[in-house]
Amino acid sequence: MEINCPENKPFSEVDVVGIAVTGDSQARQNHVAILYVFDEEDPEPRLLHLAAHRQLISNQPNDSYIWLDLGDSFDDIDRAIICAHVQKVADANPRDSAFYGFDFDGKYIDPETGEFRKTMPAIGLTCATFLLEVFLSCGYQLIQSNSWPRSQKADIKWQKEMIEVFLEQPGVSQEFLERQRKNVGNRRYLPEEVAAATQGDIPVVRGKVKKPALDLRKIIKKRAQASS
Amino acid sequence: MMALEATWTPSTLNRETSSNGAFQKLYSKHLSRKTSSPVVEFVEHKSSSERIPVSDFQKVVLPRPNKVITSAATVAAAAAAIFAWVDGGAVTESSRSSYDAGYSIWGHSSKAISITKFADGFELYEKLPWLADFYEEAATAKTAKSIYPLVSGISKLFGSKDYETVDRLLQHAPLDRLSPTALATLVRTTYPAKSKLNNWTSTVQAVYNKLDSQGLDASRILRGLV
Repeated sequence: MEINCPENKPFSEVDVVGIAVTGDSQARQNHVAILYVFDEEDPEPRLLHLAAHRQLISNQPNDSYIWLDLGDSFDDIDRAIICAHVQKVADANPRDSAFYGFDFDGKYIDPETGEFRKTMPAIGLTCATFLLEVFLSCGYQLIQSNSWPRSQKADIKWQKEMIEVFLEQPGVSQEFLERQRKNVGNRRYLPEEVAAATQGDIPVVRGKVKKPALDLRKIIKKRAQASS
Repeated sequence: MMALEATWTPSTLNRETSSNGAFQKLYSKHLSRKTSSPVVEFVEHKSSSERIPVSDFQKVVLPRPNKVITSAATVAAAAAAIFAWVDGGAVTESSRSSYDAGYSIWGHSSKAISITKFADGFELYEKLPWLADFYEEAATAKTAKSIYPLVSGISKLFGSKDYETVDRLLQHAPLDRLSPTALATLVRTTYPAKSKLNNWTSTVQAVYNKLDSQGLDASRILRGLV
């Protein structure tokens, strides 16, 4: 796994599509995005990511991110197809179409159109499950989700915090809020785990990504501490 | 032995051959007694009435929608520029290659081309003008940007539930002239609706064979699909 920092290797050098990860100085709240260069003749790197509740964003990366190319499971043809699919998803969905929450496994992105399915208003994703859904809707299953544990104490605590931060806000329906409260205890897929999952043979089990995810977390933390 | 009798007549298959009507009439030499299949010998330009012998430039290229070809010289230039990929100038008569990306190549004067097949394919390209543009570059398509017209075009057809058109696109896709990336894109993009597409299974098999014949690892490229 080759981890790149923008000061050493600019985002524009991504091999068509990759993964970008950032986080806070405690590495408690990390974030993952899809990094891609759609037009290689005019290599303007973009991120597609779910930044927060109703914040599906396609923008340029900032220097807080580190990034990875996709691993050897993906060849040139895969990368071109995934990148085109990412662009399709970016084009097909308005910014406020993706909600935050702890659903997964629902195949919420229609692979035919790249649009969130009509059931989406009841569904919430994290940055990590959004990324998993994008790959899945393109035909690439990154992880064996049932190898991740449910109801981990630390995950439950984090999920409750996220509900408070993102969802206990004006404009969020009570029905949606209740659904996500019931989702507390669902499997949590860490951003760095999902990033690491793109590096090995897919679909990967959690045991395979724990070590590389830890490596990523250390770098993210160190980097965040250095910049704060 | 009785000599074959040649009579020049407007082809009974005469029909509007392009959306702009640049070439309106096909002149065929019916070889009496031997065959009922007309051999296309001339194409008559609509406005100038100039008759262009097919043998003058090996192939005659009919214009795609919205492109006006006004002279024999332009036709020849277009043929040279656009159809440089036709291996050795040969034109196969398979149902796929006869469509040729929204154009039609009317083969050497010794060959007859099915007008009916052309007309069927042509309707598809009239409906999907982006498709001819895509196929024009598809032999070298390797990047996300170059395959995106196919990805987004099919996505829009799916969005309007027009599975019939997508199925026809699969049926008529000129696989011989698609790059490995374009081939994989064609079947991957349509995979989610494969149960609604009668031609998907045969297309993915044809794509597999095509990739395999090029020495590529077809199983890997199409993993999850076959």
